[in-house]
Amino acid sequence: MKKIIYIIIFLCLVFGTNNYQELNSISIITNIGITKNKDNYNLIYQEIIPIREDDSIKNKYKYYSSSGNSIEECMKKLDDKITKKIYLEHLENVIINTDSNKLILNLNNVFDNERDNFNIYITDDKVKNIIKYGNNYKYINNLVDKKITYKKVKINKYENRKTMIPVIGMKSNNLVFIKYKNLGDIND
Amino acid sequence: MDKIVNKTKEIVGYSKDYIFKEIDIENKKIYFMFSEVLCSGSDINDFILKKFSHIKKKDLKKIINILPDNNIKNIKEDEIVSYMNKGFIVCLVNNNILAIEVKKILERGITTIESELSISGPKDSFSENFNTNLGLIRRRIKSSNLWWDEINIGKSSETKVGILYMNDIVEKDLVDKVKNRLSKIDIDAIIDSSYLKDILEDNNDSFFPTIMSTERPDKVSMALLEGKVAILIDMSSYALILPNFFIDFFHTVDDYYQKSINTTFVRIIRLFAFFIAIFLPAAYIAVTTYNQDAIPLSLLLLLKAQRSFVPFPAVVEALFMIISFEILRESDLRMSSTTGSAISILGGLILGDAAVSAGIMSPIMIIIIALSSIAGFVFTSIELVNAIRMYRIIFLILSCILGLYGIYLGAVYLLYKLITLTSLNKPYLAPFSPFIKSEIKDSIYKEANTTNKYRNPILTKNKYRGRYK
Repeated sequence: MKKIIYIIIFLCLVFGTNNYQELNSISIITNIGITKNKDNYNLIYQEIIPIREDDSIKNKYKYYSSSGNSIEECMKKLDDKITKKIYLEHLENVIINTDSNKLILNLNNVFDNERDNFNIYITDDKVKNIIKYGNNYKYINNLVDKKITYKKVKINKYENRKTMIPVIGMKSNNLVFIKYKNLGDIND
Repeated sequence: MDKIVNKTKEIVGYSKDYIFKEIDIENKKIYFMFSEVLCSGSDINDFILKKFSHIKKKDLKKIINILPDNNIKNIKEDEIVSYMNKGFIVCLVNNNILAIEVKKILERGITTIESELSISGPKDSFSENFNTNLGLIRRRIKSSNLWWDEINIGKSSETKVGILYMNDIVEKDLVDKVKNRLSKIDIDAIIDSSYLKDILEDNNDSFFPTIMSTERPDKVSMALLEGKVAILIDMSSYALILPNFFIDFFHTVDDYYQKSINTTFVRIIRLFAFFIAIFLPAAYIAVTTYNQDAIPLSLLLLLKAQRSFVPFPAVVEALFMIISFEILRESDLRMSSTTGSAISILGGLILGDAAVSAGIMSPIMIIIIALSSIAGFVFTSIELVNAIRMYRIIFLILSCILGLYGIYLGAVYLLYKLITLTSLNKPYLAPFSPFIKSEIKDSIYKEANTTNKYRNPILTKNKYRGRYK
């Protein structure tokens, strides 16, 4: 019995600490922007950095971007660029500038094993401008009453139901909600 | 007679505190032997020597009837030193060896409780005198069924140990088990009641206590009336109660002196405190190093901001804080009350604040460790506090290795340990495992003292309280 306990303790010590990551060593990504131009992809990460100033905590933002032939390639490049471990578990929004429902439906392959309750938005404007707009990671969420999460997109697809994706854009230097677009109406 | 005196002198090594006195009554020699540090000099003069100075030779045969003391015994030669060390004056007269009790009062009297404070209820506590302690219990339980058996333990100390029980309530098997275990003790001296704990416990490898020590006579009285056994030890101000269940350590005497509905609330708070004391630091480490997804983003950002300037890993920070707190507590315990408060201020306020300002500690870690340590002190049993302290560190290490899974694994192990633990062969986790419906009324939930009609069936077959039978 004791031998078994020792073996379990040993295995725990060897393999247990595999996912250990200190808060200081993770880069929390809250918003992601994806732009597709023909076969070229551009990816922007918005990292949120909380900073303690006197008695209050303020959030600062840092942006990272990369280009490649696929989103996976862009992510790999960003992974090399960012020294800290990229943390996508608390991803809030994904803003996509493309008229491709294939891309939206295949995000599962991109954010493998991560949370799927982030919101999906479409824009006809430059993603870079939208993602850098405002000083609060929640600013996009406040635009739309009926947000659509990626989880909901998957469920709707499974149940063959219509999915209305919100379209946002810049108007007179302000970020605004424009309309809802049916995912079925988006071309491949 | 001379031979006996000389032999006794040799046995005690001619120590100066043993007095050997010889008087003559009509050419008849009478010897007195006593310890001047244990016997009352004035009692010897007033009641023994004065009496002998007026006695005639012919009265010596009925000396037992003449002496006023009520505790006179005819003893054997080999018992002389033992009785001298118990505060008796030994008198050699007419080839008889008499031991007359003339104990000096070497006690501090009945004082107020220091360690198990209560808001309401009696304030008297046990002292180091066996008879006083027994008297405090007898004053509460006037029944003739309150019996006690005496055992002397310790080769050198010959400490008087009393096993108390209610003859009409207790299971005889329990008393026999206690006697049997005590009779097996082979030791030089029993200095305090804690010496007996090791031999009386079923599992010595468990952190959790199965024997309760208390300085409250009311608590002992309550336990006796439940069918438990109490042990009083001469020269110890703490009595031992056994067997005990895990839930007993969540109860205080105040629970029985307050309204039952309030008691239930307080017991729930204590249960929360137990979990906070053990699991809080481990849960913090797990969610900040493995399971960040388990907490909302706003809280995660708050924690990240607080930890941003700390150079150590979270687990090192937690262990450092725990060890610092334990050092502080230990020094506070050993210091006098005046110096102790200064150390508390220095450690708690100045060091804590300075550690945060210096960037060594994060404020949230200080809050976590302080909260879990304070929660641990909700309990009066120091053994339970120690068990909580040990499990806090074990869970902290487990959470550092496996995150929340480590805590789950540890919790299963803890539950396994509690379920398999016994106190005098009684299941430690009763009344939850095995489930006893009647005892739930005095577990976490508390029914009024007057309506709780049944005793714990695990402890006694005489389960009806009072006149309900």
